[in-house]
Amino acid sequence: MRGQLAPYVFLSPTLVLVVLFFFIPLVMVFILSFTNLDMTNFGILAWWNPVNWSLDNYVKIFTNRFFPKILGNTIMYVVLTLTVFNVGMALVIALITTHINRRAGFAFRVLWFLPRITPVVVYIMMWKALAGPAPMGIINSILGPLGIGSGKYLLNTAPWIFIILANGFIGASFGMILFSSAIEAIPKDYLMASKVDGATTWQTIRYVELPALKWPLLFVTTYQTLSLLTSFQYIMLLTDGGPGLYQTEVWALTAYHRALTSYFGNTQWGYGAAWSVVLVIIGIVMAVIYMRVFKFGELVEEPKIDQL
Amino acid sequence: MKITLEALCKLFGKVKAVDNLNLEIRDGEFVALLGPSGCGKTTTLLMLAGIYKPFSGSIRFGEKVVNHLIPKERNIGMVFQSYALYPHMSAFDNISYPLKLKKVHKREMKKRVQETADMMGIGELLDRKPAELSGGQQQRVAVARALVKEPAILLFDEPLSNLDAKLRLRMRGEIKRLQESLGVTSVYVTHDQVEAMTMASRIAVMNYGVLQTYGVPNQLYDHPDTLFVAGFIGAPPMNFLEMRFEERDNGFYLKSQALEIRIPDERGALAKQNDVPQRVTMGIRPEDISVVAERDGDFKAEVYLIEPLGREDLVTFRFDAEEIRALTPAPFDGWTGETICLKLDKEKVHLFNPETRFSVLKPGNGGSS
Amino acid sequence: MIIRPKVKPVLAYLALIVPSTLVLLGFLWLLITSFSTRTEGLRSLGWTLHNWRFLWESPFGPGYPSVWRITLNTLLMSLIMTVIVVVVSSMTGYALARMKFPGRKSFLSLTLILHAFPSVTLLIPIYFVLLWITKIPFIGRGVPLLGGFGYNTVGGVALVMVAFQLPFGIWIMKGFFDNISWDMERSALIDGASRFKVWWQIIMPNIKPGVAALSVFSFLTAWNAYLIPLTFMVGRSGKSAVLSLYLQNFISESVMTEWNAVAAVGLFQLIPVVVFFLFTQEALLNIYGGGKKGGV
Repeated sequence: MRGQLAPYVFLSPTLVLVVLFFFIPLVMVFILSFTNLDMTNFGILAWWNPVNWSLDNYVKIFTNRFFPKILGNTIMYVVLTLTVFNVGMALVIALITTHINRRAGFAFRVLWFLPRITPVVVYIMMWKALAGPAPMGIINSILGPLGIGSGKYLLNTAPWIFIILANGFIGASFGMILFSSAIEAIPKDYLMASKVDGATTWQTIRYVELPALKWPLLFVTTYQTLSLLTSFQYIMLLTDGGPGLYQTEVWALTAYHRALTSYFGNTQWGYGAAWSVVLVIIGIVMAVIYMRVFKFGELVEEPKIDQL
Repeated sequence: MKITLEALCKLFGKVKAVDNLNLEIRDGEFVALLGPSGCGKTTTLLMLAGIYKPFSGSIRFGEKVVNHLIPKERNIGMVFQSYALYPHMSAFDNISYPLKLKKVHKREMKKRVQETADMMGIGELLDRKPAELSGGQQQRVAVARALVKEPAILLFDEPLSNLDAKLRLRMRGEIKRLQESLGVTSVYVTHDQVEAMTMASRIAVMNYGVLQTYGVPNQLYDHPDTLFVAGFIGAPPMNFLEMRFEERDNGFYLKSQALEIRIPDERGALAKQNDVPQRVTMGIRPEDISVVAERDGDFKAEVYLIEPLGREDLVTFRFDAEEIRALTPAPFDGWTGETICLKLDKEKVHLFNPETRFSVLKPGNGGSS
Repeated sequence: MIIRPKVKPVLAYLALIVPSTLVLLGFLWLLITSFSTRTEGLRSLGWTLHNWRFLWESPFGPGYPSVWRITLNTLLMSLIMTVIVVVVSSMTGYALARMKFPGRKSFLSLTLILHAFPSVTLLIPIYFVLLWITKIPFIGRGVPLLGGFGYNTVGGVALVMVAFQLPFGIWIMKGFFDNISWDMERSALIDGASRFKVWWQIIMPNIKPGVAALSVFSFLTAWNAYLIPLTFMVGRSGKSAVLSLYLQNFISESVMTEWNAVAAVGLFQLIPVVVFFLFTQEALLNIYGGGKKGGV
C-alpha cells in the first residue's frame, strides 16, 4: 500500500500548484466567458449563477468584423517567429557556435542570451530606439547617410518586422541553449568516427548532429509554438496592436485588451475571458496534434521498478 | 532460507517474460539461472528482489509468501552486472549504506564494514570513490555491500560479465568459496554456461520465459532434457544431425545419406519406449567424436577448419552438406581439405524428437509428446 | 571542395555577426544612453553620470528603500523561486520518469499542455486565488521573511512564477532522471532505502548537472520577472519588492519619464545576471543532459 501511494507524494507539490494556479483559474475563466461581467456590473452580477450564463460572448467573437484579421495576424506572427527565429536562427547559432573557436562561441551565445535577461521595459525601449525616426533612430542614423530609407519611424512603416525581430531575438535563445547543449552532448566518438570516415564539417552536421537534434527540435517547436500563441507582452509594449486599426493585434493581445484595458471606459471581463477560452482550446489542440505527430508517447519509457 | 516459486508469471505488456515458473531452491543452495538474453532469468531474479511485482503465482521465502514485501523487508543482498555502486559515495559509504539505513550504531557499522571489506580484500581502499577503483575492485565493493547486512539470500545478476577473462576466472572461484563458507542461499543469473556449470550446485535453464530443465550440472551436460538445453550447455556446442531411426536385425540404427551407426541396445530400447519418431535429431558432443584409422571409422569427412585451443584442437569437418565439429588431441594430425575417418562414441549419442524438442532418452519423456 | 574548408569559418562568422549586429547596436545604444543627456543614433550629445545617481540617492524621496536593498530583495526572491522550481520539478520529474502509477502518461502530456494556458488571461482568476490564500491563517500572511503565500507577498508571487516555470522544469528534469541507471536505483531499494531516500540520497547527487542547469535557467527567469510581480505586488512596499518594479516606478511615478535613467536602471538590473551567465553558461549548456533518449 505504501508503495502505491509514493508516486502521489512526489507529485503532490505540482498537483497543488497546478490546481491552484491553472485549474481553478481556468474553470473561473471558463465560467466568466459565459457572462457579461464587466466594470459596470461587478459586485452586482452573480456571475457564478448559471442563470446569468449565455453564449453571447462566443457569438460576438466569431461575428466580430476583425476576427479574420486577428486570426490571420496570430498565425503569421506565430509561424514566422517560430520558423525564422525560435527554431531556425536558434539552430543556426547553435550549430555555428559549437563549431567555431570555443571562446568565440561562448561570446556569441552571451550576446544572444542578453535579450532574454534584459528587463522587458528596457528591451522594448531599445527596439524603439533602433526603429526611431531620423535623426534619433539608430537604424535610420546609419542607413540615412547611405541614402536608404525614408527616415520615418520604422515601427509605423514596418511594424511586423520589428515585432518578429523583438520576439525572435528573445525566442531564439531558448532553442539556442537546448540545441547547443544537445550538440555538446553528442559523444565525441561519433564525431571522431565521422572525421575518420572523411566527412566534411557539413556532412558531419548533416549526418551526425542533425539526427541527434531530432528530439530537442521537436520539443522546442512544440514548446515555443505554445509560448508564442499565448505571448503578447512585447507586442503590447511595442505597438499595442497598432499603428493601424488592428494592424498588429494578435489573439492573446485581444484577450488582454478586452479583459483588462478600458476601451470606451469599460473592461469587459466576460468577453475577454471568452477570447482566452478559445485560445486555450486552440493551444490544447495544437499541443495534442504535436504530441501525436511527434510521437511524444515514445519518450515515455515504462519504469523498470514496480510499485509493490 | 528456502525459496519456493510457484506458477510464477510476469507480463510486460502482452509479452510473457516469465511463464508459469515452478522452482524450489533449498536452504544454503547455490542455484544458477541460465539462458540467453531475454529468456526471463533477470526478470525472475528481480521478482525475488522485490523490484518487479509478479503478475500471478507466488514467491515464498521459507514458508512466508513475500509477493507484497518491498525489497527492504526481504533481507536480501544483490550484486549487479554494472556493479551499481553509488558514484558520489566512497567505497566505505557504499558498503555502509545498507547499515546506515538500518540505523546500525556508528561503531558497530565501522567494524562490520571493515570486516566485510577485509574479507573481500579491499580493506585498504575504503576511502576511494568508485571511479578511482578498477573493475575488479568495484566488483568487490559491490559484493561487500551485498554481504554487509548479512542477508538471508544473495542474488547475483551476471556479476562477472564486465570483467576481463582472467579476473572473471578468479572472481568465479572467490564467489563460489565465499558462498560455500557463508552458506547463504544464492541465486546467480548468467548467460555463460561455463559459469553456471562451475559455480552452481543446480542449474535452471530458461528460454522464452519457460523453465527448460532444472538439475545438477553434470546431469544437464550428460543427459540434457531438451534440444535447447543440449545446444545451450557445453562449449563448443553439441553437434546436431537429422537421422532416421530404424530397428532391424535385433538392433537399433541411426541412418542418414552419409552414415549409419548402430546404437547400444538399451539406448535404442529406451528411445523406442519413448515413442521415438522415425525422423530424429541426433546430438553428439565434439569431444565424443574421434579421428580414427579408416577401418574403424563410421564415416568420412573433409577437414574444413582447424582451430588450435592449446590442449586440444577444434576441427570442423564437412560431409554431405553437413558440418560437424570435433575436439581432437592437439596437435591435430591433418590438413585443411584432407578427407579423414571419424568415429562417434555411441554411448554418448543423444536423441531428440524434432517435433517436441524433448529427449527420447529420458525415462518418462515419451508419453508427454 | 578544396576551397570550402577555408571559406567556411569566414562564412560562419558572417552568418553569426550579421544578425547579431542588431542586438549589438541596441545594447551599445543602451550603454551610451545611460551615460548621456541625449543621443542621436549612437552619438551622445553630452556625457553625464546623472542617470546613475539612483545608486547613491533615492529618486523617490528619502523614505523609499535604496536600490541596494531592492537588489537584495530581488536576489532573495529569485533564490527562493529557483529552489522551489528545482525541488518541485525534480520530485515530479522523478515520479514521471521512474515510478509506475495510473495516469502517468496523461500527467506527462498534461505538463506540456499546461504551457498552452495563456498566463495572462489567467491572471485575474489567479488574483482571486491569491486573495483566498491570504485568508488562510499563517500561510497567507504570517510567514516570516516571505510575508506569506497570499496576495501582495513575496511568497505568493514566487509560487505563481514557479507554477508557470514547472512545465519546462519537469520536462528537463525528467530527461536527466531517464539517464540514470536502473540498477543503481534498484540497488538502493534493496539496500533498504525508501523511494524518497533513493531520490534524495542516491539519484539527486548524480544529476547535479541537471540541477545546476535548471537552477541557472530559473534564476535568470526569476530575476527578470516582470508581469507577475507587477500584477500581484501593490502598494509602496510591493512596488519596492524587486528591481523590475523599481524600474517600472521610473516610468509610472514621474510626470516626465527620464528614459536615460530608465536605461541606467535597466543596465543595473542586467549587469549582475550577465556576469552570472558568463560564469554559468557551461553549467547551463548541460541542460540537455537527457541527451541520448531525447528526454528533454
